[in-house]
Amino acid sequence: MLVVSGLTKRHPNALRPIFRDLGFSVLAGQIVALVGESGVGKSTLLNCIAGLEIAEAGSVQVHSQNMMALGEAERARLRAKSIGFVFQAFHVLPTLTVTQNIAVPLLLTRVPVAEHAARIATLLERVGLADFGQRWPASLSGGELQRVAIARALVHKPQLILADEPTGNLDPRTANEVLSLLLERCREQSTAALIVTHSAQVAARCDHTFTLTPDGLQA
Amino acid sequence: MTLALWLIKAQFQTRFTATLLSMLAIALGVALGFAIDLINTAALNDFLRAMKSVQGEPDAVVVPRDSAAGVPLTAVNLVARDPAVLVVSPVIEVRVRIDSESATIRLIGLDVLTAPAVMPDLLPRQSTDVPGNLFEDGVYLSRALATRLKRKSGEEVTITRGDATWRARIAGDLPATRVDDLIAVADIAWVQARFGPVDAVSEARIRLAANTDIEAWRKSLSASLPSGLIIKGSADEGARVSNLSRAYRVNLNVLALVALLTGGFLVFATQLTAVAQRSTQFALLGVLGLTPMQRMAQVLFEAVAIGIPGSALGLALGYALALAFTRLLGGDLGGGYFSGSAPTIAATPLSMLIFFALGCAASLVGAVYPAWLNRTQPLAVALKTGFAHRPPQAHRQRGVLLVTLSLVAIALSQAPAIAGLPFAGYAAIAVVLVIGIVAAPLATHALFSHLSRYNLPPAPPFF
Repeated sequence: MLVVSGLTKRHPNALRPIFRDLGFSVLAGQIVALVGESGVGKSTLLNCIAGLEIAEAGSVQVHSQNMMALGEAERARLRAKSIGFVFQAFHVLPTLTVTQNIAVPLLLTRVPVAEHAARIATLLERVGLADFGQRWPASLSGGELQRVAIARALVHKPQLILADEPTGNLDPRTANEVLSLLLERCREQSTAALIVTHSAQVAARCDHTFTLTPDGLQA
Repeated sequence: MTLALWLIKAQFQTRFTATLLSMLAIALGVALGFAIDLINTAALNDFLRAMKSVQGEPDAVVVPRDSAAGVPLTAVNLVARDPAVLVVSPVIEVRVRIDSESATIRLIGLDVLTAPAVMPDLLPRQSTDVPGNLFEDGVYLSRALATRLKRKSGEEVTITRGDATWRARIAGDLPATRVDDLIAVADIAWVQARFGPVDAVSEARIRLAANTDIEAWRKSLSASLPSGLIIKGSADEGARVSNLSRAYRVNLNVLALVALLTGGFLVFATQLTAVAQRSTQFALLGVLGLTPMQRMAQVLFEAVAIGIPGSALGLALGYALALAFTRLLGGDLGGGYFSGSAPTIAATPLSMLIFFALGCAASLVGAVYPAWLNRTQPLAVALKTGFAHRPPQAHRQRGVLLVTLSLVAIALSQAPAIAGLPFAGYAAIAVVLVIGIVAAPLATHALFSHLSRYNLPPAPPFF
């Protein structure tokens, strides 16, 4: 599902690359944790995989397409079609309702409008927000916002979920609930997931853990 | 499209005042431009209609090149012998004072036998109360003039021109003149004997045989006429008035366009702020799969969504303004080019379309730079930290651009007119507006850099 090979990234004017010659793969339905110290380049790696940053060398195959070889518009289209995102800061659009937020990936991937309501209703129920469809994000708690984000990440049935500290802003109990939800839904849809985390508990619940260090990736 | 509409609606709801102000600015620009165009078009048309009505519609008119001279009778006879000429009607026009009226009045001497063919609206009507035949030592007053002089048929008036003073009886009226025409008509021989040269007339009006090639005939006859005479087509006078008022009309239109540009500037400011404030949202949409072009298009859509209702409102407002201005100030808005006219305002679909498109275009142009910024924002940075700050180097580039634009504006302001119109001056005004746009971020940066030295409380979070 995700194949990273020979990935090297260096900041402009930096002598030392952030990471060099990284290689790993995530299979369909596999949930992988990416851990490492702050500043080691976990988020940068995630950005490269998502095509938000361009690596100096190497390739990122998502759904058999090399993200590094695509133009900006093609990368955006590949993200829309194949990747779902969950962020530490939730990033739910404040001016759209919960339903509208979840519908965004469906609109971007041109899923027929007739299917929207059923898909959104199903997912809202699965994330425990069945009656929250018409609510505005400002009225939701952090845990609820992250559930909306998880629903949005999964609604278009992507092959890969990229999650950057998905429980980082939540209290332990809510974090546990949200993580369970994310893992369950990914497994239910056989969606691969790469979760960046500092939490050993989160990593322990994933199928596999990679540790990113200044010297490279350790399985 | 659904997502675009949701975002537009959200933008209008969250930034209602700024959006409304931008819309009103566009509306004002369109309204001024449309109103001025309506008034000018209507006033010019009305003036030409009035001119044709008063002067009739001859196929051609022989006039002296120097307005102080006249058309010799020998030339009139020469024209009359031309086989293509059906009727030649000589006219003498002098400005006289009647009774104690302070303003001078047009006294037109015409030949009653030939005038019906070329000046039907000036034909006199003999009063039944006044004995005698048409043009028997009498003058005929338009109704407006008779009312102004408080005179009626049968009474005598005093006509003065220079040292010459004559008394004449009012023999009737001019039923076909317009209600506001101040004109007196008399027999051409009567006028010539008392006020005009005996061997010349003011002009000779010509009716040509059907199917005559007027241009070819003009060229042919011009060669045989004395050099001091010219032959004008009936459209020439309209063109003269049109040319005379052209700079005045163009200036007014440019003034309206400046208002429209100002509207575009407000759209620019609104959209730039909107893009900066929503940079995290746009970055998120980019991460989720909105392409760079779609991100740019979204800002342009929002600008069009401001421009469309703004332009529509502007058209309605412009029409109302045109009606109000013509009633309050007259057709020339006080400019003196079409004085006395009371034009009828009528909007054509083409002019409505043009001004509607101009309003939308101003709004769209104002949003181009914010849209481009939105397209080029680095997603990862914008998602994390919001609007990516421009490096100091960019400010230096803006400074250089500012100086360059200022020099261009100064140079343009000194450039000569082209075809009688200061196009370079108009361009200088546009450049000054662009300078304002370029300088705004620099001024803001300088202000906030200065304010940042003080220990101000942090601004509340936007989201």
